[in-house]
Amino acid sequence: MTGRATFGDFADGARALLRGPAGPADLAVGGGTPAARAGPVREFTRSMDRVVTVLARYAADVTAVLAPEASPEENLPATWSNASLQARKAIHNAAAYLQPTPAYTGPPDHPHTTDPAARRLDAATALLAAGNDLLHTHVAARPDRTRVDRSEWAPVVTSPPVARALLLELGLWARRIATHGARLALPGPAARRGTGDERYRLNAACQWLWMLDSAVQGAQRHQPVSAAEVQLLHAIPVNARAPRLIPGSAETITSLCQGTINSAERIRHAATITAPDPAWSPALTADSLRQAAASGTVISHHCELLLQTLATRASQHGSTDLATRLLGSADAAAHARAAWLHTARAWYRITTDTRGTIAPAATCCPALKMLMKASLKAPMSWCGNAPPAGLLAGLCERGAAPGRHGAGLDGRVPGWTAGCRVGRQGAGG
Amino acid sequence: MLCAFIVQEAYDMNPIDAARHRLEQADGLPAVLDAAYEAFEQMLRAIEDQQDPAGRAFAAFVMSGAAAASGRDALATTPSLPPAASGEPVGAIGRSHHELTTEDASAALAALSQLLGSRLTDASHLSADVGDRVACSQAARHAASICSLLGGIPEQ
Repeated sequence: MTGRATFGDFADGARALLRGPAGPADLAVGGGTPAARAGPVREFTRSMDRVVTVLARYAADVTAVLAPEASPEENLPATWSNASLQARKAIHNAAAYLQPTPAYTGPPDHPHTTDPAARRLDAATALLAAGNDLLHTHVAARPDRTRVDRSEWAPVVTSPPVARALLLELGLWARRIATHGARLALPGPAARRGTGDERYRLNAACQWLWMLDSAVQGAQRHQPVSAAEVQLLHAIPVNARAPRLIPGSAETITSLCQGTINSAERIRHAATITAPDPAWSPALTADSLRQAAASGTVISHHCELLLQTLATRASQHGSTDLATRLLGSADAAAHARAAWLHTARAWYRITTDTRGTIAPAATCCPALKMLMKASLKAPMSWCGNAPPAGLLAGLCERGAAPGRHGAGLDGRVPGWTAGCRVGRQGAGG
Repeated sequence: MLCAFIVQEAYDMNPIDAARHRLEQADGLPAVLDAAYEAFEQMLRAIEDQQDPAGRAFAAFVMSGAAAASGRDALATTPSLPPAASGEPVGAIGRSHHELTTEDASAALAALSQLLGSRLTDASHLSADVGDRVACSQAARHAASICSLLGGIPEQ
């Protein structure tokens, strides 16, 4: 939809790699030194250690959502909260078996993985790590470990349904990794002599991954994750915005739609990241606020026109109910337009004074601050995406006409106290 | 007698024409800045009068309004802008903006903004003060924006 990488891209890629063959051809080693014979097992163990490290990150994220501290559900079997705790424990135990054996005194491991199964696992690990990073682009943590939302997707990423879908994926990955590892760990031909301890440890780790899958399957049977929830997880895009573009005269409908979506995302992102900014931000200017209000007016106007046109078409096709609802939306857009216009006109008359020669007249709220940075001009250029209806209504009072008596106007809003300047002719002092 | 003639001429002109006339006649940096400031003010009033949602150029007039206000404010920062003269503003003695049709208003405002852009660009070269130069350039850019929005061709 947005042309950006989604979590599904990475999850699907990893799943395909983990589904790949790990047959005897990969594992058979005939003869050679004990170290050479141990190669595939050791390489796979090392690769599995890496992937388990990534799985641990996923498990921590999932547990934070599904089993926060002091949750009363924690001990109930076959619940997702319980499964998340079991998953984390299983991963922890698996990781313990994947550490290098202290007794090993052979030559150092080959710096590059040569075993095909281990290489596939490494590739899957990279994809899974990228997927985890993608999810973390939407949320950050403060020093006190509380969450900071970085995008509109953050509530989705941290929602229980998506966490359950993620845990379901985790179970699937764990099962496939365990299947590959267990094949390698099987005791077999004489060619594998001397690898007993390593195979034992690898097998134990795999058993813990199967335990993880088992816990997840139990929860899935008790409270199934829907296909829609998995789709939602897979649809989460990376938190990155397309650069601001001005539409040309030869844009296609597709590119106009894409441009509109990109602009709307930029606005929502700006709204998200601007909210915590202090009100005295020097980036706020009267010019920007004017531009935001004017753009909001035009966007609302465009919405009204489009909705009215759609209502007419719906009526012509006999969809009276749809036409009525569209007209209702058009009416709402008209109200938004009126509110924006009122605000835009107020900003014609509000200017700022860094020398303190004017009386405070309007104190702007975070909504205005948010809109200033939101660059509403962009969606207006692309088509007219809907602004928050009436957001600015009543926030600014209409002041006297601006003037220039001895004031050092610089178009900024220091301290968020804009001044209604007296008229140039001195009216209203 | 001359005064009476001038006042009568002002009554005969609409405020946009009056502002344009004044801008054309302005000589020297302070006079240009003063006339340009007043022109932005007059444009803003005319633009507001044309902001009819049922009109054909509503969006253009709304966006132009923001540009006119920002252009005016840019000029208000210029060190060379003289203090406001007392008395009635030019627009107050002229005819109302309401008498202009949308097409006439667009044409008049585009022409005035084109002239504004030109005079402000020239003015920015006249001043030795960097504050004047920057503010004039900014105001000229806003004038060019208005000109473009209302169908004119901005001065390059």
